[in-house]
Amino acid sequence: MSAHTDQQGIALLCGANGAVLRVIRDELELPDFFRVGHTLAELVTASAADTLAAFLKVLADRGAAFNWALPVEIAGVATPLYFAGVAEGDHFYLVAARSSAGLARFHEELMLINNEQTNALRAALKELSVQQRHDARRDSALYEDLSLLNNELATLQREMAKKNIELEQLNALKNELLGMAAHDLRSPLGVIQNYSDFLEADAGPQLSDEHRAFISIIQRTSRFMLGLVDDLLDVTTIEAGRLTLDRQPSDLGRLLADNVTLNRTLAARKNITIELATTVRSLPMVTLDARRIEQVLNNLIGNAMKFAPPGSRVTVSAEATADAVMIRVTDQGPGIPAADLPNLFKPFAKATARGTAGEKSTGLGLAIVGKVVAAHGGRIWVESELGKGATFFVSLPITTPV
Amino acid sequence: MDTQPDHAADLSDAALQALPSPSANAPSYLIQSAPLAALTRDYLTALLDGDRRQASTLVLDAVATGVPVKDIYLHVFQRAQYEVGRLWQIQDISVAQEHYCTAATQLIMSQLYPHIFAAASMSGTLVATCVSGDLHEIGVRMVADFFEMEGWNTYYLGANTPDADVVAAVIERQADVLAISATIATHVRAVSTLIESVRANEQCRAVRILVGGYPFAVAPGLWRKIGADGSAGDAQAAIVLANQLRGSGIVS
Repeated sequence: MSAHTDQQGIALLCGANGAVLRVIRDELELPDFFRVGHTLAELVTASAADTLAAFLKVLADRGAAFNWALPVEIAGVATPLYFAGVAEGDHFYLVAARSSAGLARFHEELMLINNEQTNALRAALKELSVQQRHDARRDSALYEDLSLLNNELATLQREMAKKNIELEQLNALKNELLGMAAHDLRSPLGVIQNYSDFLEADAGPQLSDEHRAFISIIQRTSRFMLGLVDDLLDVTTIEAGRLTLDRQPSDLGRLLADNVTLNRTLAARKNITIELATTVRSLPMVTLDARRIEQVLNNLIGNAMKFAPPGSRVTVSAEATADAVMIRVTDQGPGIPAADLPNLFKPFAKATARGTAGEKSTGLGLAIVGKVVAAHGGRIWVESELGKGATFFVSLPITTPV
Repeated sequence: MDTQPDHAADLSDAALQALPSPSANAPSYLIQSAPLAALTRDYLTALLDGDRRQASTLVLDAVATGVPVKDIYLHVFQRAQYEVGRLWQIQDISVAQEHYCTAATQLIMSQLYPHIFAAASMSGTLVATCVSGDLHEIGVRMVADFFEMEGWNTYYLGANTPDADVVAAVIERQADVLAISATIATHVRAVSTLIESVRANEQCRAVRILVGGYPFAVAPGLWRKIGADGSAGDAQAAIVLANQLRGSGIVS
């Protein structure tokens, strides 16, 4: 802006009544009292009130007015200022300078500034829109890629859902087949067992030692096979969801004692002692399927004896808390390798350890035990350290879970 | 030579006329009297709010109370997807919302798969696919699901399956029907190429080919020109046609 005072001026935004809404520019140092909210009438000298009114009327009627001289009091002196203005809706944009030439130049200067600002604004908006278009293109490509990805996932999911159903059907078929096979194997095995018993009873005395040994092998093997078939039937029943429990309030302490007594005969043959902790006598009544829990106990104690070395001890104990009974079966066997632990309760899991007297394993016993305990709403787990034996824990709720 | 620019102008005018106009007056697909109208409205509202969990709950609850999955597909999913397309066309919703709705509907569909695949497959075998690069797979996958609900054994191959793999699937699955979808006109050539590959293979002689999608809906004779055995406008019509083609062995 030129230093020439003629070119200095003011730019105002006013309402239709002449009330100042904004002082856009003030190079004339208008009186201090002159602020937003005051009217032009307060700015011009009293004698110019009519001229001001005429100026505003022309502005309002024609939309523009140029070169109107109005005396304004600046620094205590009435100074003529040359006004020009345009109406924009309800507002007037006004500029004023000390001379009419100054007014023109001031106006030009303001236009230049306005042009520059508009150019800058245009450039900025242009840049913004380019950026936005670029962003939109990038977003659009990303959305498309995401959609394709999502489609692929949806297709895979469909395939998986279909395969899952097929697997379920195959599993049901497998269980049915196993059940049928086991059932059909049972009768001929019974026949083999019975007839070898007859043979031993009737012809035993006449037979040679070698032939009696043959019969004994037939009996042992068929007993093992019968056990295997029974286990298979159990597994298929359980896996098909057909395991039904006959739960009655039962004396778990007696069940434990009876089972230990039964197994002591077998244990004696391997020179193993089974210790029953005295705590079992004070166990509360527990709601359970006695036949199935007996199967669990027999399996766990039988297992302990299977892997225990001669001369060692198997300990069976149980204690009650407020809502559960925990049974422990501890042996002094070789322990269970860490690698075997995760699969211990899965069907057909082959443990690496072998029975100390050459006992065979079907790989089904612990699977059945696990399922029976789970069906009772209980939990089974094992703690073992290689070379230091193993302890199986079974926790059964005292009352039937709903 | 002089007439050529005029001719070109006429042609492009005609083409522009033929373009589906994005009219703001296109009627809403959410008709009050339509079956499951309230559910469809709530479902779409949830999706447009970005609340896919609520949308999923609405659908699963409806199925739990006995609404057939088929009705959910036909009235809720299909209608909501059409409406999403319309809202996008009149720029009432953003591209992001459109993609979100489709993705969420696909997810919710997959939650119904255990119901869809539970039925034993007694009818024919369908292999369905959509040409490479097509974004709009949801429609043809819905068609495949419909066939499954009708007792067909169905295999859906995604848009990224090469032609040779589609041919291999038709042979391996001993497909009775191959359904191919295309949603835009530029994909018709790809459909035609795929059909040629299938027809060229002696082992695919028995398969019947159905095509579907927007280009075949606007040009009724197009399916015949590219060597298909028929075309259907929606899933229900496709099943009727597939059963006819399979039953009669006659090309319609």
